[in-house]
Amino acid sequence: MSRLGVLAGLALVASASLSLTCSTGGEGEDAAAVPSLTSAQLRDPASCKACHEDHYREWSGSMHAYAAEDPVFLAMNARGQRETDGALGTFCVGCHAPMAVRDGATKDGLNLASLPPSQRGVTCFFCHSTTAVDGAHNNPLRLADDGVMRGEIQDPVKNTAHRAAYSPLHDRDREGSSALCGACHDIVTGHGAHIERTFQEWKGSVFAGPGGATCSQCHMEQSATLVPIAQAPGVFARRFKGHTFAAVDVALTPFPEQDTQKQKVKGLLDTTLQTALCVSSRGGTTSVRVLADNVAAGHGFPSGSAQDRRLWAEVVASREGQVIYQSGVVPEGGVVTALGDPDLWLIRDCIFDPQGKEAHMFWEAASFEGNTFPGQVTFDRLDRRFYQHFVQAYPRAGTFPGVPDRVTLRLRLQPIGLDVLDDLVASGDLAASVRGAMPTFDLGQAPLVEWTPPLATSKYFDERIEYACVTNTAMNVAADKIPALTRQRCTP
Amino acid sequence: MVPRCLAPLALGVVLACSSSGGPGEAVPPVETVDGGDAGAVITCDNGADVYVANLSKPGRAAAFTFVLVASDPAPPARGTNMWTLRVLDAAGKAVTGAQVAVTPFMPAHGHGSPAAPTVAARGEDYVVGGISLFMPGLWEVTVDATAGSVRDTAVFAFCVAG
Repeated sequence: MSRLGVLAGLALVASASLSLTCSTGGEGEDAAAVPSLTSAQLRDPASCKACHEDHYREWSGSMHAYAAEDPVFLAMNARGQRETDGALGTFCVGCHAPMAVRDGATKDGLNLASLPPSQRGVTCFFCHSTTAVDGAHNNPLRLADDGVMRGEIQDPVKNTAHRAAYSPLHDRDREGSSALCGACHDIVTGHGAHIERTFQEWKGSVFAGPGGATCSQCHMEQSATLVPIAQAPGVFARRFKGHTFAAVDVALTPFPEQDTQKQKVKGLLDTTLQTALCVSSRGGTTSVRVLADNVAAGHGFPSGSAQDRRLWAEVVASREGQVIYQSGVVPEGGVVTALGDPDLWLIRDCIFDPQGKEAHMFWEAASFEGNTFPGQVTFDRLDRRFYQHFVQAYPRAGTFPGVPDRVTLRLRLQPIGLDVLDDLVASGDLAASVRGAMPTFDLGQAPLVEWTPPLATSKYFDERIEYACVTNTAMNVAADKIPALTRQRCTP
Repeated sequence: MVPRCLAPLALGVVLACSSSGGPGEAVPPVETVDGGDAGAVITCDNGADVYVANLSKPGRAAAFTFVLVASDPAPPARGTNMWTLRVLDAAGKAVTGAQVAVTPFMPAHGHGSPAAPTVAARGEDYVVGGISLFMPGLWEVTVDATAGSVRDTAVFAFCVAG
């Protein structure tokens, strides 16, 4: 009988007594070490909750748990299936509900509401059963169904729930652990467009090597103190690894741990960019420079579905309380792409169909272009690329009339642009109420950068013109600068 | 890319090649499955201090000795930290009433923290709040103290884990 057959037989016996006890067995107690959770039970995240209460609580509010509940995903998938006459197939749901696809429970993700929790979202079982990464995008993960939950603990305590084993793929300090994440966080469309490139961006950055950081080291923060990582006798106190997976997206409908998730997302976003606001006035006219540098994201920023994200700069110059120049001012609930602002600095990707025409839904994408901020590429301070201070000019050419006594800057981010949501509402795929739930984050622990002459104590020269700057993020404004990246094939 | 020291991990790789135990079989104390090459270990660079309470550093100008009395959390960790510092003169006596500034910086990344830490005098100590070590990596925290005409500086460097 194969090992799998033995396991299956034991599972049948174990399932006859369904009460799960979080008890542990010691060395030599092989009878007590026989796992009691069946394969079906292991697949249900609720089974993990009994012993891994904190992991489950955090995961339950994460975007992994939300992946099959997210109304934007459901809307895009529904519309994509319709517009491709079903050809989209499991393209979306292969990452958003991978267990459902693997179990053959869905072919298009249109029936997820009828599926059990074990087949919705990115579950505990899915990650902790991964045995290999057979590619770099679109979920090429290989899973085992051997009753072993894999993790980074090198000396897991034997227990009566499941076998546990160390796996280098799950070791957050190993470079290869990022491949496990990158498998779903890099997406290549059916037309061959690499529209989501977070893993590729990380691999091309300085973070993918000595002195860097893996995906998990940033997105699964560990506790400062040792705590029991399971509620069971004999469990060692270790560093707890967060399972909130905070990044940029947040739940748009009632969902567990919503406030915690949003707070953690904001905490990450607030420290991602360094910025400075610089002003030069001569002869009664003024030019403004905004400096921005992605210092903390181990990949591009924004990243992921960058074609849907909207990051922009709002600049307002005033004198004696009267606005004399502004750019990127979007009214509450307004759409940044509809501003008609020639100086708008909007940072995002654009996608294009096979004919080169701008597209708006990812399944149409055959190519893309973007002006997102790259991740850091070198630790060598003598390398010109060490500082990636991107500089944007306001106005784009020349100066604007007047001399301000106050200028403000905000960098604003919508995880999914309101124009994208409006498109989905108009096609009947998304409830209008979701639009109001989309946050606009103002980035930075002190989001409003305020320039006044007395505050502008940092200076730099641009072609012999002196700019006086303020920064809320201790930016070195004198460092080398690069003109802000521009997109050629789409506006704004 | 130069792999980090893998000596302690080589044993893990060797264990990965051994078969995992099935039900009823003796399970080795460290079971490693799905070994293969999971790449180099990514951790902080060398050059960091090892935190202990009352870690002391001589000032660069040899005027003061800087003592990191305590860190919360201990050792310094990712997020917002609070330090208790003491500044000693050449005779080992605590210097009170000094102007103390604390500046975190990541030399490998070329940036500091978004907000300047706050410093409050408390008896012989200086309590420094809001030390934002917001990402993993090597952080150099420069402590600058000025008392009268005497000024000195020391740097504490810590690897902050992810």
